[in-house]
Amino acid sequence: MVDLDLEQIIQSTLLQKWINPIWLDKAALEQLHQEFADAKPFKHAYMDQLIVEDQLERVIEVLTEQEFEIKDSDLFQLAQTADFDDLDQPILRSFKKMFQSDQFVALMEYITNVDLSNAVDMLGNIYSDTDYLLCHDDKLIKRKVAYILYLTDLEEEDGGALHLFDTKDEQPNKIVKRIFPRYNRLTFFEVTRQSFHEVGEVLQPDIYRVSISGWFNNTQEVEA
Amino acid sequence: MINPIYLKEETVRKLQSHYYQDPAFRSVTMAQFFTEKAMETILNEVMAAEFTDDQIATMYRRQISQTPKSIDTLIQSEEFINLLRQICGRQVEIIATRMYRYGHRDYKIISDDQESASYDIIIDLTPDWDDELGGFVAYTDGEGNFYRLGTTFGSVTLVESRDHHDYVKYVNHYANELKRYFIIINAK
Repeated sequence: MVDLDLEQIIQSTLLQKWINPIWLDKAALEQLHQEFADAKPFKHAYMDQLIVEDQLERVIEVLTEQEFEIKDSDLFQLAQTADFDDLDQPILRSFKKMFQSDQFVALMEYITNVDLSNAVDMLGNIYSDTDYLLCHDDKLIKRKVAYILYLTDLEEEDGGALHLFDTKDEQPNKIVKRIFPRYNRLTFFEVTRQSFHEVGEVLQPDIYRVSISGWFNNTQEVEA
Repeated sequence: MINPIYLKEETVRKLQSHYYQDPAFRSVTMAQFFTEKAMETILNEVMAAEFTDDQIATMYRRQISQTPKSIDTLIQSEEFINLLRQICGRQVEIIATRMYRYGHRDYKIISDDQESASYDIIIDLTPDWDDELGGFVAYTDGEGNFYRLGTTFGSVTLVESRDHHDYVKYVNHYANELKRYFIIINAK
């Protein structure tokens, strides 16, 4: 858990460099905190236009030059980079450092009310025509909050939306919410044994769902 | 109803040899396994079958139906059981059989909870299917090795499935209204 109050988070020069001022606002964050807590079928929220535009453009320019390895199994089909820690790219490392800074972790803790450590996973993903990720809960001991920063816009007919399932008898039941990829939208949700979700198949040729995703972890907590 | 070529000693020897070729994953696919007349009867039964949804999102999404009568007759026949025994060198006992239909958005994921049978017999009843659409059956040993079956319309594939888990690849949108039909027989 990071010991910073909301005022210290908002005044952080690091966050002011990276985060759109509309989100460094007490009232906006209080509202988001409430939206996250009240969200159904499980706790989630999203922040549009999160990253300062020219900073995000620099990240995207370098990210799209990286090697994306094709991942193909029973559960998923997509292309993915290595973790940004393993890519020799200063701008990508700086971006990840901002995400795992005390200030940003404290911001996420405030919004989600989940204890987090500074351990963050971060990978680049490209879903192209027919790619998908089937229903799962993301649950591993250390994973606490999953996030996706979308870098492209997709419309309903393109597929690629994040589908959230409600549950019945602790099993996924029906898709009750779809969150569409929007450029510079950070979507995040609390990881629990009930956080069943999937990425819908991309349904169009020449459409790419590009994102940066990963998890905010808590490496101090050991599950019973 | 079995194509007479599969009842010849010479063919059985070749099938045995093929089955034992890869010790890590023993399997053999017998193309055009049925006589033309039997195939026609089976297909008519498949097309007339009533399917119901079978879905647990974290495991599978598909439709299931009772096995056609002609297939029940086949799996109870001495010549079929003998053929399986001759190929794998052991007595094979059928324990379950079911017909599956996979269309766009359908899949089966590997499940750790799933108990593997000793043998799976997969009957592919899908004319005009391209594996680029997904919907193919594959197996994994859990150590990163994947084995994709090269089934074709009218083929019967025998797999030694103990220590392996099967999955059916997600069927993508290019399938449109096409459906893939399988009968999967579990044996010990």
